[in-house]
Amino acid sequence: MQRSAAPSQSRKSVLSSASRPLSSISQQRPPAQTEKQEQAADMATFPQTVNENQLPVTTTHLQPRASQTTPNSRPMRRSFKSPMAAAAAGMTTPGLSVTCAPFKSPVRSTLISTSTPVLTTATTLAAVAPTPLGVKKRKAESTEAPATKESKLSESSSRTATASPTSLLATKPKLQMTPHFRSPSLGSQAPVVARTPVDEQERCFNVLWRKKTGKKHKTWDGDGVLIVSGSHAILKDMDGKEISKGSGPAIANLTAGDEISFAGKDIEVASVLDSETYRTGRCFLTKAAVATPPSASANKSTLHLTKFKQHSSVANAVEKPWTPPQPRHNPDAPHAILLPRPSSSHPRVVKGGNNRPPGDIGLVDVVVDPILGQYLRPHQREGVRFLYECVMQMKDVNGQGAILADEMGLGKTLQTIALLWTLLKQSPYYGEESFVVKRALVVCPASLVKNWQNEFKKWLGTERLRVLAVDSKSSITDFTLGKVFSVMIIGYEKLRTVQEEIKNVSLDLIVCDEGHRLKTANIKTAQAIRSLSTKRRIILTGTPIQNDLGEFFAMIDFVNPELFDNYGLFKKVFEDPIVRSRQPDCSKAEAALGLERSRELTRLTGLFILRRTAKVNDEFLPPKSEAVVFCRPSMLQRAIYRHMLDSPFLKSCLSMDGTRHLGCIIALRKLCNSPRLVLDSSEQEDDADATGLYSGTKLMIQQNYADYPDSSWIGGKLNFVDSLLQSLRENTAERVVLVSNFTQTLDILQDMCIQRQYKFLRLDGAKSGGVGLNLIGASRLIMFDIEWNPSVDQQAMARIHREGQQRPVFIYRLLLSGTIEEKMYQRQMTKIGLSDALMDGKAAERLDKFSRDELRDLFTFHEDEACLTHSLLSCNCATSSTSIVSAHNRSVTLGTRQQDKRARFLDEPSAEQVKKELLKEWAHIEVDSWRRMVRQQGKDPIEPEVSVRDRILWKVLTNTTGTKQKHETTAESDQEEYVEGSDEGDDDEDVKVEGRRIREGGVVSFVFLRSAAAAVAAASSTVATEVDF
Amino acid sequence: MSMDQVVRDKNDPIEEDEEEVHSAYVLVSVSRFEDVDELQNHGINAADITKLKQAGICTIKCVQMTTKKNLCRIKGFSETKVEKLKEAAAKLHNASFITGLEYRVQRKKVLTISTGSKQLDELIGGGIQTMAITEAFGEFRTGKTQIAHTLCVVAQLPLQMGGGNGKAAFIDTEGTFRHERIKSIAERFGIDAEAALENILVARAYNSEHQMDLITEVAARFAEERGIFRLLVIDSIIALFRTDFSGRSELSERQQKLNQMLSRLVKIAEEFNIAVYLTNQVQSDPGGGLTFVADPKKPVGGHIMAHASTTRLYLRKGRGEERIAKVYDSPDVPEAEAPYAISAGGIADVS
Repeated sequence: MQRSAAPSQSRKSVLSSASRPLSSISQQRPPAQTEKQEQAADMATFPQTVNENQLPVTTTHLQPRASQTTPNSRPMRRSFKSPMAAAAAGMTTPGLSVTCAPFKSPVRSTLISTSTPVLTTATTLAAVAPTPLGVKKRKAESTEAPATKESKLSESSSRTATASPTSLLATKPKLQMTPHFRSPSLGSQAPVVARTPVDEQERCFNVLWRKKTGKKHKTWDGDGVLIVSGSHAILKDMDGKEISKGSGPAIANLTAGDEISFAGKDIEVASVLDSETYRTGRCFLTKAAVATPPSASANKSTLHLTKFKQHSSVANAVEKPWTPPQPRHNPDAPHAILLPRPSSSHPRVVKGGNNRPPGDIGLVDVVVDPILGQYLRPHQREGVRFLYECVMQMKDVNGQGAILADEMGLGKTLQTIALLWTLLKQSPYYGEESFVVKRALVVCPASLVKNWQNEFKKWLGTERLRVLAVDSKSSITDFTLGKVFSVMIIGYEKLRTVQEEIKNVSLDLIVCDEGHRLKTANIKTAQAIRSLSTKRRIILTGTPIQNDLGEFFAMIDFVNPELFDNYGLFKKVFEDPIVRSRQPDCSKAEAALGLERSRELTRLTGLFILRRTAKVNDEFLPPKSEAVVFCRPSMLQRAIYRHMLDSPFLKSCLSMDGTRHLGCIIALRKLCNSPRLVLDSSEQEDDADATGLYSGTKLMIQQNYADYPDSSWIGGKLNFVDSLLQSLRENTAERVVLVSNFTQTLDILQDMCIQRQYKFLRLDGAKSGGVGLNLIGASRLIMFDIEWNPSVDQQAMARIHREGQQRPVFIYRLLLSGTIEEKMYQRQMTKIGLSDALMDGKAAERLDKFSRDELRDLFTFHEDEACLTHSLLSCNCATSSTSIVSAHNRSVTLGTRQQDKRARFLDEPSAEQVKKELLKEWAHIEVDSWRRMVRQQGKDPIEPEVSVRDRILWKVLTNTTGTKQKHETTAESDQEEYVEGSDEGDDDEDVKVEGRRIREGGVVSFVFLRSAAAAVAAASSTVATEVDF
Repeated sequence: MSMDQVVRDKNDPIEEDEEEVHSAYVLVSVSRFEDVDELQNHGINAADITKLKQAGICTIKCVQMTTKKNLCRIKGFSETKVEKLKEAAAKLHNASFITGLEYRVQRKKVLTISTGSKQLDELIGGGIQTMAITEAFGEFRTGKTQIAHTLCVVAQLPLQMGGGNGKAAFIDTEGTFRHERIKSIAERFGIDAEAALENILVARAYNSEHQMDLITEVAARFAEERGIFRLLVIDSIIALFRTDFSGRSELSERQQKLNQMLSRLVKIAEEFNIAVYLTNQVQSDPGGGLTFVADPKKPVGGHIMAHASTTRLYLRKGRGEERIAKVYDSPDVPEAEAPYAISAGGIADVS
């Protein structure tokens, strides 16, 4: 053991040359010490440096650390107790460091200078002292040069280990560069780079700069790079932008640690920068380019960290009695919902826990937090339970996915949030982590991201759960790399773009809102989601089936991919037989097989698909009343309709295959809304084009109807809307939502509102009426036109009848009788029937294709029908007897007969029957005769349907006589255009045109009315209306 | 009925990456990935992280605890960099509001370390608490240092024996650390004296600045070896300040430095879940004659000490070996007194 008083003193001088402001302990320690003291001091200050096992030969036992000056660099003491080993630790602790030179470990290895300076006993105080806050160091970073020089010193001094102090002294001044020393800062590595003579003296520095300020506590504005050539220098900031340039004598001899004033700025040189780094531009790049590899910090792990070992003598001390684990929330609390436990055969139940006391099965109750539980309706509790069981694989299905297909307004969002919160915070298995899900992803249409975020905030607040809502511009690193956010809400499109980043993140649960988007199985978005790494997938959709089984398969395949291996299998086993069994010409065996298969499919999918209809909500919400109002087209509309149907263009559509049908259909639909739309479209078309769609329309209008006042542009439905709104304004303070599928229609409605001075707010875009929005401030909804897809309309209608609605809700769907709109409505009813039926395993037919016959029927105008649909059903309801319509023709689509035949085969309801079933719930009112009876009897003749339930409608229907309400506006002078009739007699009500009794436009000819009570009554009534085939 | 979910059986092995606290059989696992190195993924380069560590900031929580002003003072940090740093830290660690229920779950990891005397333990609610500062002041010979030594040993005992199951760090400013005492106390509890000494890190501070540096260093040590340490003793915290700052003119500076040190200690205690035990001295209180006590005294440090300590104990001598401890200030327990005795095996109950 060496004791050196002198060496410490000599080292003192070395230290002082480094001019460290902090005094080290060695300087203060009196040179003469007793051995014991020193030993004690050593043991106190130097925990053991070396574990013998750990010494590799070539690396230094003074583990070099990335943080060269932290106290952490002190290796841990292990089992070693001898004072000998304490020596070599290169101490970086402030003050504690240098000390004991005398203690040299018997094993010395070559000190290799690494990129970070090696800590040696003697020296590196210069580099070493940590910087406590508030202490500014001037010559802070000792450059690597002195450090490694001094490492050489200690190495050489170690060679003379047994030397007397003098020999140490002697070796000290020999500061030589080790052969392997490289000082990158001097740019000595870059001689190969060809440089222009001007650049030869170019040097670069990392600097901190700030504008000159007179403040007492100065701070640095930012980092920068200073490029010095000769005595001229340029300062650039970290974006590469030039800040200033200047020159001066001080610049020529800049070294690290200098502080100069330069071109109006204060600059402190932090370190020398390799000019190659500057020239390649790497110094301006962020992280990836410049970061030193984490191996620097990985050095930390080579430090042997001691585990704390319990004292063996007391390790088996008295044990506290083991208490069984308790659930996070009290299951007996009033609003707590206890979720089912996994059964004993569940694969994960018995994981771990050999040390379990007897009677312990390793499970703990999972209870839904009462803060959510108190708001859950019974069907929502069921839903949460169902989802939990599916996701935890407690159902007998090979997969962990679920589809929640509740209708709109039933609280799918709340059920999802409740499930997520439970899974994030609790787990039924104790002994592992305290949660099932650590990170979750919610994917939804981009417009709903904000909505989801608000929902989370509404139910859980901002403190319990941090949720990241990603819009199109923000980055997702906060979620992928950070720990703060547990849930991310992202749009479908955005997900596609960040697909690569997400792949690396381990997610535990994915929720797809409006999952019917995934129905097209091979679009990129669906594939992106599929590629994510979790098996727990939930789809939320209000409309699981829209067209056929293939789409159904796509959704099933997404949530439980292992259920059916591929589409081919599904097709062979299920789809083909089922579809085949529905063909009209299948054999009995095929039909039976199809039935069996369809039942099996229903059973299988019923395990993980849950659907409830809005009826469950009816008890909680105010009553809803729907009315389908069939209006008569106006004269102009009729004329144009006829003209268009007769046009050569349309006839050619029918005869050839082509894609023109769509254009025709749209044109007809526009016409039904308002003739003005047609006029606008025809103006866009070339007048001279005789074969165009609108050919001749304009001409016809101008020729025949030019003298019609402007208001006749309005047309059938608009009149009704007008009177309805008028009635509403006079009688209530309720708000109305007007929905249309055409923005041009919205323009017209907007004009009308302006004219009538109604306050309105306009929302455009497909999303506004359809998906996701809550419009519960309104209690009346008018669907101005109709769509093919019933779910689109249903979603729109569900915007106001949902949670939070406080008033009774009235929904009006407007159709122009006898036109294409009625046919669309009929198809919708069938589709709805199909959708519901498939969920129960009943009828199915292809509704997305039209046969030629059907197409022809589509383009038929039933001018005289009060309500085509009603006649089609040949409904024997009470109105028929008083109906004027009964004598009219019925046009039956060819399809129905065949369907009937099949129905008898399979003993299943046909689409027709389904339709009738649905329509049974509705009260049918043939308005003319009804009105007559009202006038005669003074009250509602059929049931107190209209008068009691919907006073407004009553007013409108009964008031379509006599004068229109006061219109302050222009162009209504010719009241005869509108007047539906007078109080006296039938004949006067009709406007006689061309010898026929034609109702003028705007008259309501038929109404289907359904209100909540009526639906219930219809279901339970015995007689009501009998339907026969 | 305890309402919190138990997560791990206490005998399960400890994972490398987790700190485990076995306290009432509730485990809260804290991932190791709260080191500042994590910030590399968020745009802070390694050189800056090195500088952070040099300044004694080793964890993300510590970054959040440090003010921007202090961060700017670190050499090589500009304001833009500091802001970037703060932003990145916010992404990695939630320093915002949580509900009280969640807070209760977090408090589950608080342990109590017995003092060796059951009555004294009962007085202060089971022992000295982790995540808090316990200060004991009293005249000489009242047993402050003895309590410190006893705590150092008890901290190593398993939880069932009222210990902390971890190592201890001792910063000695008065030169009163005695390994012989440790040996006797260890024998009393039936553990190996050498192993006990092994588990105590001792440092001798010579002036107040050095003391601050030691605290910084020990914090870095705690960060590196998460979950290993359970106790930090500073005996005594005020002694060096009293010498380094003399006179009224330097009083304010002393108090400021003391405040900074105590603030650091509080943060360390909470971040690493350790118990901090401080010993304080007393001074004469000339104006305290109103109480008609024979020799009025008050603790040194003034209001700064008073507000920073979580629990304050006033120790005074009773008869013979007996000493009396009185709770002066505690958020948990009411004011009361309890006797204890100094014995060969450290602090014990009065026999």
